[in-house]
Amino acid sequence: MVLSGLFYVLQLLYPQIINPKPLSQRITNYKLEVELDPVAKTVSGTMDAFWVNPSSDVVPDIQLHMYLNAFSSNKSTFYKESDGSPGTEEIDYGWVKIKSMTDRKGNDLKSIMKYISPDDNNPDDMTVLDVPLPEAAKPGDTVFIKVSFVSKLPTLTHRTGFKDDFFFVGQWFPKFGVYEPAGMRYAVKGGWNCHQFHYNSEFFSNHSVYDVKITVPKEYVIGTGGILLDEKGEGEKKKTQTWRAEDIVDFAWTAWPGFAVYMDQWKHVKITLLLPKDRSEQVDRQFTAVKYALEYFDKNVGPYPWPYITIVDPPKKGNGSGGMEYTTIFTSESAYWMPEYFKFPEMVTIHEFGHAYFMGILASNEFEEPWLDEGVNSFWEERILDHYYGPDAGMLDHPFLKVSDETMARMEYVLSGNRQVVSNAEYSWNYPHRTYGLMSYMKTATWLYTLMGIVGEETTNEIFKEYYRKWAFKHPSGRDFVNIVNEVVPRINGNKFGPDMNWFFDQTLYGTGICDYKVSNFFNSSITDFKGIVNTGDSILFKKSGREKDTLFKATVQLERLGEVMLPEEILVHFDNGDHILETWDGKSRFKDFKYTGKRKVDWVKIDPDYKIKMDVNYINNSMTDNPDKKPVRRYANKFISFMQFFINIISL
Amino acid sequence: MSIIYPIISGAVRSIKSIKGVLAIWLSTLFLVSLVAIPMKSSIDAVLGLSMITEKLKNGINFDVLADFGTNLPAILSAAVSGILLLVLSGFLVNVFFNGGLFTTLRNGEEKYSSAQFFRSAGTRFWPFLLITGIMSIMVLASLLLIFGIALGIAGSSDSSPEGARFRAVIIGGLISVFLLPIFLLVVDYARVWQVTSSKPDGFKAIGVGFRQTFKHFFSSYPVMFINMLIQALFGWFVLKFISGYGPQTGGGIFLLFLLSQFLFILRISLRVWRYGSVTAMYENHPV
Ligand SMILES: [Zn+2]
Repeated sequence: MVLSGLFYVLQLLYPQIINPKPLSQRITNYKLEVELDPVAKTVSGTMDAFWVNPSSDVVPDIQLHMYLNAFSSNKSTFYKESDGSPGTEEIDYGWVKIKSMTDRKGNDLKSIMKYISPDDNNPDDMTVLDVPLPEAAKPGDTVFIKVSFVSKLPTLTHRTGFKDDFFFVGQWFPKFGVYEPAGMRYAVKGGWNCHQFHYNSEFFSNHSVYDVKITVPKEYVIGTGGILLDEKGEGEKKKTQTWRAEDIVDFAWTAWPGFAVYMDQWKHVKITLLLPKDRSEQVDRQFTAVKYALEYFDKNVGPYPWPYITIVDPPKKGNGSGGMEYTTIFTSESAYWMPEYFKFPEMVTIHEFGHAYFMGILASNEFEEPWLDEGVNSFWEERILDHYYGPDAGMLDHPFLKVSDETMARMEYVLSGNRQVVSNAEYSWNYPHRTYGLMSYMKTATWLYTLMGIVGEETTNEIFKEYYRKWAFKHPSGRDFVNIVNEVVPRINGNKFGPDMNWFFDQTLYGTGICDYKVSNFFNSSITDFKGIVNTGDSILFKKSGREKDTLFKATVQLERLGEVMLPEEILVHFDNGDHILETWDGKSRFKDFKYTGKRKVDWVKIDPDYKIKMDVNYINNSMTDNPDKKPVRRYANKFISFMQFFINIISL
Repeated sequence: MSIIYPIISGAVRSIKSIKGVLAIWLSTLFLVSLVAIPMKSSIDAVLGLSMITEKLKNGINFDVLADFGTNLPAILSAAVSGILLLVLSGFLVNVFFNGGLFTTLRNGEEKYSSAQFFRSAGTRFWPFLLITGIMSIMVLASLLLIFGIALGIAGSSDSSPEGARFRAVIIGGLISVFLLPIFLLVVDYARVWQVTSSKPDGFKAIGVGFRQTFKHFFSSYPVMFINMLIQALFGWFVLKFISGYGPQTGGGIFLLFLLSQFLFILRISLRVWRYGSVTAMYENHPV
């Protein structure tokens, strides 16, 4: 094939340094040489980059992300979506300016390039650049560009920028969009998939090699998504570091004189942690959390393929950059005083690390399918936190109050008045009523838990292992994920859930319904002997009887489906003699009755006794008993009374 | 003057006033129950015949809170307004009873008399409200000032280290701990003076409170500080006990109720002990 021959050449140009073999196709590659000006708040320099036409199309142009331009005005799509503005002073604004751009032959491209807004036709948005090629790219052709550029960083409020002498440099250089050949992610025909910078999404790129030379003042400590190959001084006051990264979808870096650097190791992975010097007591927490995540993903999804990871715990003034993922570098969010029982830093670290898998390795399109990125990742984040920090204590582990991470997501979904406004399968900027987070994080995680409740934990892990095996370093779509589920579940469970799981995804991912099952009632009536007219042949006899056989009962259990979503349910019926029966119900009809005749009476009934169907928006009506346990509430009432008595007494001097 | 005498004398006086202590206990219990019982009933009503309470056995469970659904905001807003009313009325009731207590704590009162207790509570109500109200505001304002200044010195600029702010809060807390006894001495001396004076005059009482506090600072402060230290230790123990004790049986819950009420009575007695000590100190150097 054209491609493989070409890749051989490219591999000579870009010899392997980090891993023995390329992990990805490396359709795009970048060589950057830049200098940070800490006074002007700019990063300027040159970029040599190429893109290989992976399709059988003749492609007349290239498209580039120019994402810092999102911070150039309050009319950019980013700020229109957020209803804000980059700031009040000129220094607050960010932009990227191309000083020159040429192709391999030295043809000027700057004069023919133009900004486009494929998502919303916003004339004021300048985050996507279209560059017509002097010669269209034939299948397999490599398009080289040489760019000289200046990136002015914005004041750090969202993800990228500066605050005083702290810099987090993300989405900072002209970067290729993804050319999708027909068939890739079910595209009907080939074309550029290059979205504008949006308030809620920013990632979809090819896996690339990055060679980046960064010059900064000597006192700055740098962290990047690569490994450091070389450092040399530039006169008295500056230094230049050479960094290398392979097979990642974005290259970000940070520079700040106030960082302390810590190192740790997990198996083959060297972990670097950069955090403010006076936050050293948080070091162990961060290392522990990321090692938990490495272990859990390695065991249940697939290996972490790079030999390093860099964690940045930004200072308070740099909080705007906290909680961001750039695959081999990510930012956590913590504070000097963060108490041990509050697992927020762990949550952010595990979540952002998780994006190395969901987005980094499994490079789905965050713009078009945020659930496949954020939602799937939240599901794993919740599993990891609740696994390692306690099933009820993944978020908060205090003697007074414990909260699991999974519960937080479910609560947000269940309590939201907008939970039915839209389906889960929307472009990130199309979620109405500010439901982006609710849908793509919370609801997705909740139905993934529900799926795990139905098919079991082992099958779920197998789904993700297969997803990894098949799609690592490629660009899966939601349908590709569903196809994996449809393949793995019947392979393990046979026909137990039907030939495929489309019924599940149609209702959860693509549907807007809610799930709510209810025990309407149960009652026990005693069975009496025959009473009525007995026709003996010659005479009519009225048998009054009714000596009641009070030892025999007919017990009836009445269930109801209140929501639109139909999911298989288990029902635990308990009898007064201690017996219990576990029934199953496909959950499809509006109601379901179970009847039992015998010497025993039903005394309680539970739908979904193990709370597997997390999507059920009301657990209270899932059970009914003759004898409700009021003690826990009474205990809390007691404690409330004591607390209030003491409180009033104390404030009364 | 020895600091031992007022401590012992205060304790004796507080034991003598046990009926006043019990009156405060009962009235507070009654008031709090007025809010707590309807709140409990509405929660019970939402839970109905459900078995979800099994999830509440080990503590508050957010899953269950989520399932309250639309009931949750209703219950929460009722709770918030209930608690506000409760705090306000509880404060007033305490002001009222303190009028009685300070009277019966005086040395002249050989025997506790309920009639005198309530009569005095009634006649001292307005000046006591003034004294307690103004001093509460002063305490609040100085706390705000202390923490505000501490944080200001630590640097509100983004470049100051985070640890500095944390340490500022700690230092602010320490200063408050040492300052609080002074305010308590003032408010107690003011009330002692008020019950000895036939004329209700809250402002003058506060003036006397300040004067007495600083005039006899080195004998008064240790007495107050020791009492506060004991109360703090006691409070810490109560918090540990009440939050840590999670009985699962009906009997256990009743025992929790009895024990926590007993602890509350002890807490009131400790406070009355403080009042008694200040009364004793005042009687040594009356104005
Ligand atoms: Zn995320």
